[in-house]
Amino acid sequence: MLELTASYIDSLAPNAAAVKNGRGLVQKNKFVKLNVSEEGDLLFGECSGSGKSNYICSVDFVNKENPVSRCNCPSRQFPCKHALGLMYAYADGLTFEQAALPEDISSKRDKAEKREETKAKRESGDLPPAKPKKVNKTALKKKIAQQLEALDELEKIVLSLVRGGLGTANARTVKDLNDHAKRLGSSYLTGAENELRRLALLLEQDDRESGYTYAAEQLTLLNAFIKKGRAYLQAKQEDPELAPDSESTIEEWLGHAWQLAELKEAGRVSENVELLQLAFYTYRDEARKEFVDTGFWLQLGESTVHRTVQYRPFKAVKYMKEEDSFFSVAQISELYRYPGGLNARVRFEGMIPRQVNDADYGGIHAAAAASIPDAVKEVKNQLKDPLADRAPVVLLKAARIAQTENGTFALVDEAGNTLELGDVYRLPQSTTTLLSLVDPSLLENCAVLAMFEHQMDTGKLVAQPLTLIQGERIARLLY
Amino acid sequence: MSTLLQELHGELRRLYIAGSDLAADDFRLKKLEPKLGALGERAPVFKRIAEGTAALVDSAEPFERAARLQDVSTLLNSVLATQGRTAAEGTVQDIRTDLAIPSYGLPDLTTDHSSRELGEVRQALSSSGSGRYEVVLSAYERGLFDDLRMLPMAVHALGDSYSEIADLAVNKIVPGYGTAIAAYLLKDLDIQGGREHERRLQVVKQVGVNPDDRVSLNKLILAAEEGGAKIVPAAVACLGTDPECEQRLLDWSHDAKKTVRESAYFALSVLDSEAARDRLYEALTGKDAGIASEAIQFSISQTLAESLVKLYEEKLQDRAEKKVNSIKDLHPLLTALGKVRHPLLERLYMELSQDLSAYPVLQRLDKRESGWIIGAAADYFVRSNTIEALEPIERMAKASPTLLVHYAVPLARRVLSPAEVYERYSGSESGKTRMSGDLLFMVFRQALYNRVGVNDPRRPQAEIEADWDPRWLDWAIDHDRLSVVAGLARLGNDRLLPYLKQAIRNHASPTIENDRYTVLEAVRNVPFDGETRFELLMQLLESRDWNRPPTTAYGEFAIVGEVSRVPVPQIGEAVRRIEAIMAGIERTDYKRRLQDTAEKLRTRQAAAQAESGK
Repeated sequence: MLELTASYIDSLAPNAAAVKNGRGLVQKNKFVKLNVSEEGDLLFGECSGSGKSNYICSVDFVNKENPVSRCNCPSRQFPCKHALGLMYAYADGLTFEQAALPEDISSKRDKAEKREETKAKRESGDLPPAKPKKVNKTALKKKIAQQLEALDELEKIVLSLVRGGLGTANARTVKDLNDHAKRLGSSYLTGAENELRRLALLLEQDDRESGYTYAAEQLTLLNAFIKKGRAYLQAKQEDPELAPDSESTIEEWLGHAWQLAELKEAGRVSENVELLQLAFYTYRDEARKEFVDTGFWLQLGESTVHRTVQYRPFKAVKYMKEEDSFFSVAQISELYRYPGGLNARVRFEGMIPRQVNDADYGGIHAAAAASIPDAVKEVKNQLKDPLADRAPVVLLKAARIAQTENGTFALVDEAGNTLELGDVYRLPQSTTTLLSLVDPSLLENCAVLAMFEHQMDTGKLVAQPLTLIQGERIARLLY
Repeated sequence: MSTLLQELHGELRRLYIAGSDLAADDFRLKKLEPKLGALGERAPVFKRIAEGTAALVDSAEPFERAARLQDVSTLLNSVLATQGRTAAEGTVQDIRTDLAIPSYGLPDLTTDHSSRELGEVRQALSSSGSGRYEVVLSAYERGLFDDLRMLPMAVHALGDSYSEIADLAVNKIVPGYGTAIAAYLLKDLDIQGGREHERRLQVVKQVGVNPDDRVSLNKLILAAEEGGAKIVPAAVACLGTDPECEQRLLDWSHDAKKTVRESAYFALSVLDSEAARDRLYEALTGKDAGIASEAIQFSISQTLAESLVKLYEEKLQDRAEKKVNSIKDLHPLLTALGKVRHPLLERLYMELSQDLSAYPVLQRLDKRESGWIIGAAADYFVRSNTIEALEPIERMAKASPTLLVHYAVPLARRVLSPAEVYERYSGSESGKTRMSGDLLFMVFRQALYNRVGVNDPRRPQAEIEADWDPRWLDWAIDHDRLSVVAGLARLGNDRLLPYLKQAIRNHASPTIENDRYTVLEAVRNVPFDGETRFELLMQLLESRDWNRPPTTAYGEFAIVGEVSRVPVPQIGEAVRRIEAIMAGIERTDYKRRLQDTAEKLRTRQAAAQAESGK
């Protein structure tokens, strides 16, 4: 028997409007036909629209991790509101009549099955691989040469900016940087393109003083990137057969988008993993010109906090699913791990949700770092690499959260060490002040998910609390 | 060591801003060099920093200097990142056990709403543009503001540039957090602030301040004494909960500014001490009576009310001195006592309803003015919501019959069944209280139609059938009130259709143009069978005198529109009848409109035929 909860359906929806519209269809009784297959793994039905004929839609749960929605409406969103409505109707307990599997669905299922079979055979070696991946060496060499050349140019513009000084930067400089960024993008250096545009944004910032500090930091980052990138590309130029470096983040900096198959080949897949999301947020990244949906997930049974990242280009926002906070445990059969530091990015294709249970809560507390100095050491170890993620996230155990005389919040560990809490620059919103609004009992003996950031101007390593966990209570200060 | 490196970082930052071209022989960097050299002895990485700095200062070529600055900075940043201070200042030495977080004691706010749900509201509250109010209102109705993360947004909404959102925040959202929110709002109050901070205080006034919370009260006193022009009165109004402020409030009640006095009166009524009551009594009988009565009407205490009722009664019975000659003398008392429930006031109004002539003031005032007093009495009874309250109102209605429309019938509809209402007011044999046809007409106009403008839409059929006894329909037919008949129309009355058909042909009626629309509303809403509906509709169309000059009867648009939607099988007949009307019309504009309608119908018919043919 199929089990669906409203929150799970919400999580499948591409955006909030689709949720509202899908529910609206159920409330307005727009479904003329509601059917479920005899095996209970397919919901299908008809929904009346504004036109003469009804929309015929279905949601196929034959692969539970990845339900497939189909509909003959013209919407480009998947699942469309009709498929969502169908699921909400089921979750609300409306009567679904049993009916035989429609023919078109069964033929589609057969085709999908065949695809899977061939894929499995190819992997096991029964069938020859589809097309042996041919690397066009001349093209690759040309590409690398172009990238190297672009790096040289990047170095030139960075150095001339350093020579002239940030104080002389004006609208003209900003425009030049942005134009140059565009050229980097067309020379296969999209990572550098984004970072240069970020520098331009910092120079445009209203608060010039803090802008300078971060702009100076950004310049050193570009410096480190140019050096490492050049060395890496030169090595590659000499040996074009070299596989992409799957241990460091340099490929990503250069603008490489990892394919799941590549990650698999590099052995970066964990099987049968359970993840529990502890924090989530969405922000506009003007430098990337994308919305970024970021989730922090604890791998149950371990103490790693992974990060999921979804980029939604401004231009394609309408057609892409907006990720959302997720409150259940995600059971994942194949978890792809990107190279990275403390919170390396992960991806998964499908998952089965399950309720969070007592053991999971226990797992959170077991995973939390008991000692502040140990956790800080690990964080600093990452931060000393200029190309590493500047804002690592760590799960910490707190004996309590207190406030100093001057009103600063501090996390206190078992041994009495303190850690100053404050808002970090790299998060779009403040959460620290919310600490004075939560139930005070939550502030003792709890686990805290915190994002660290080294603030160059004050020389402080500050942590911003994202989520508090105590027993079975989870207070998300972010989202 | 780390202070030295931090100092170096500051110098390098300076060079980044000024430009590395100026770094040659930089004397401040040179001054640091010996210290850096000494540090370099301790670890190779420091040595590299020292060397890098020296190379930066000494290099001659500008581009090389820039590169040196970049390199030494990169290295320095890496080193500094490992030296970040994490311990909270002030608690490092000794961690006192009393360093607890001051809690506002807010209700346990949830955090189980998702990013998408909250994101929509956050977006609405942090941007500008249309459609934001609906988002915020719907979020409030769905309880999203019970989420911890929405609280700062709710407070932020007090300063929203769109005043309807700000008002929603002041009146509903922020007070929803209860008294505890007062301390939070006051903590960051800017006493010279503008509208947002004034609104904060308006919320504090609503939720009240905990009398034990000295921090908040002192902030309020400070705001009341030294705040900006808008802040002072708003802060004064919040101080009623603090007994220590009695003297201050009494002083403020003599302030030169009207708004301050008004706020002080409100606060005094909340304080309700003996001195406060005396001062309010004085104000209510003096020059400030108007503003004082407005200020205290929602917060007046029973004790103060009692003394005011006595004064009120005295004034009403003023026989000898003839001091009260205008409603102006009574108006403040009427306002101040407007929301009060008090046995003395009840007795007074009861006696008044029994014999209006016993109150000489009522005779001296003109009819409109005495109507206010009688209206206040009727209003008092209506608010008691009991069957017993009907009688005194009906008694007073003998002198002013419209009381029945505005007070008695609405109350009766709340406390009696529809059948009882009918029996009481229809004027049937057993009925006690008769109402004239005109009065009932007023009742029905209000009750059957939603007022929206030119043409008022009829209320939903189910509501009308549940609220009104079916016998009213006969009553309306007997009294020949077409709009009431149409408004009450329901199935199951044999006289309805003949009456309607006859009435809509009656061109003599002065209101026929408007009444046609009410009949159309009945045709739309009453579940007549298809044949009847079609016939009524066509007759509505046919009965209009199409050769008459145009009037403002918009109903005709609606009728034509409705005709163009008749079911397919009836299209043929409809077109035939429209053409018959057209034959007798001279005005070309009307002719064209009917022609269009006929065309539309034919197109639909053709489409339907094509469909069935397929």
